[in-house]
Amino acid sequence: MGDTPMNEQEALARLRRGDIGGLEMLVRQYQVQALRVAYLITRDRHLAEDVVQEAFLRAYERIHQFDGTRPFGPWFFRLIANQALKAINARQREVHYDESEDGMVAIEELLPDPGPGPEDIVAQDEVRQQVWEALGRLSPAQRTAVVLRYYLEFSEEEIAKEMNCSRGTVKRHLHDARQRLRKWSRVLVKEG
Amino acid sequence: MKEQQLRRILDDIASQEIPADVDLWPAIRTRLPAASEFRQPARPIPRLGWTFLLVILGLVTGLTAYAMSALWGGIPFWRPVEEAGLGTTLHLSQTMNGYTVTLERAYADANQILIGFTVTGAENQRIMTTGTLRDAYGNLIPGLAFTGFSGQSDLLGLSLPPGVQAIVQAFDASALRETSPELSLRFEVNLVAEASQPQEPEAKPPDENTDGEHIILKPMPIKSVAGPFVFQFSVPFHSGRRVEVARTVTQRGVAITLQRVILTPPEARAILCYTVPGEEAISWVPAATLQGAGHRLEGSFSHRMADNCYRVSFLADQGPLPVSRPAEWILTVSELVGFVAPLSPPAGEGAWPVEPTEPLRLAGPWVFHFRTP
Repeated sequence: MGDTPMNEQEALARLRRGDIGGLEMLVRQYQVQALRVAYLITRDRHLAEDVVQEAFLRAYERIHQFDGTRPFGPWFFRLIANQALKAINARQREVHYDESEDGMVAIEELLPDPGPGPEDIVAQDEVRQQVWEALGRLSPAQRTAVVLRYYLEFSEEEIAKEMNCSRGTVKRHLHDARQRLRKWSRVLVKEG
Repeated sequence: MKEQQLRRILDDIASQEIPADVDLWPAIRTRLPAASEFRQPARPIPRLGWTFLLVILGLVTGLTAYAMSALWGGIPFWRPVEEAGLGTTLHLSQTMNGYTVTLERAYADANQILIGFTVTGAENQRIMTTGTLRDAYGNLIPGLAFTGFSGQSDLLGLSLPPGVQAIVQAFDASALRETSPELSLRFEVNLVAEASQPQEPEAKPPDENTDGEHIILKPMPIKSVAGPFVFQFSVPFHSGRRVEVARTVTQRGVAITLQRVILTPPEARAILCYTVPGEEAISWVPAATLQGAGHRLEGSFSHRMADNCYRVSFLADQGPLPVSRPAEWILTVSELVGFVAPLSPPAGEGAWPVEPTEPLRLAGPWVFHFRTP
């Protein structure tokens, strides 16, 4: 995630004073990547925007829980991943509530069927589409682990720490995810 | 496929949907006042009660009247009051230990009392303020929300010199025991600063199988730098328009009663009462909008009262609300959002969930029509 930029320190100092100008600086700096992380996990643009807005508001309100000697980005992206995972779970409960007369609807039923994948990958668009669909077949926790590991480039130790589980659990999540990506998209991710 | 290739593909996917010029700040900014009330427990300072230091009077200010008008008009809380020309200019200053607190503006109506003040002299230190308000009988008026500004913001079009902070605090006028055309008030400000960096644990994502991780909130190490600054003053009281609606609408087996609406230029406040059957442990917060007289307002504050009633505030972000002319209004509760976890820690306990459990949603709508005569 790199060193903490000077303007980030200034933003954090202002934020600690309750100054919304500090929050504005952080929003401008992190909103795009935060939104992309949230989108990859939630697979829904509007839900991702809600997640990111909420995460910035939480950062604003709880900035005194943040160790100001560390860079803001990793802490914030973990908050984003956490919020995105919660949002998916909330949506599952919401669907359950709305469909209560017909019984619970499994989230897998709502996801698109990936269909048979081509034997050979011939176009980047196809690869993207396959990966996108395969990601949709992963459980929210697996998808979060994949985004943290392969998009944000967190280490397995960091993911284990932030997902509050053992490194073995993370390895299993990632291994299962790789297997599923391979099965559903013909994409092979080498063991890291 | 190598990890870098997968990263690039993920980046391609995300970039296609999320362009680099996306801007969430306007939406976030409009949600800040609501957040201020919900998360008041996250500001530990008001609990400390710094009431033991001496009062020293003084007079310092470097800001012109024009700059003050631009400043308060730029702060979302205060904007409708400034636009309606309803704020009372006080310009009362006191200096202590090199810090100057200037009570610039005040406004009072049936919903809220707003105090706008500046603090100067904090060039090299992070200064935080705690303000308490009492009526003429010494009764404490509960705080509603707090917003502060320093430095500059291109978006808000505001700029303050180094070391100057502008703060607006909102207090709940419904706590006033008596009202009169002119309210006598006592506002007290203390200035504190962080003594050192806090060493509290960072928020972490919870385990999948638990309701959320708990952290222990330690009092932030702070020190008093100046105060109390005590101001006695009076402001005109605007009674606004009180509409007794007393209508009930039932959706999904949930009956919501709109008891009343109190309209004042900067805010409409609605009292909604309801019980969601079978979910006693869940706090259901209404998501509501109010339309009428050319305004469409989002409910921004929701405060749970006694007797299963909620007070919902609609801040006038499109100019002052008309309170003295007839208008048709529609209040719509689009959904109830349920939170399992309490929004604040239990009394006497220092632990609370880092994140409340994920909210439930009960879709409406519950629609109420009413009229101001």
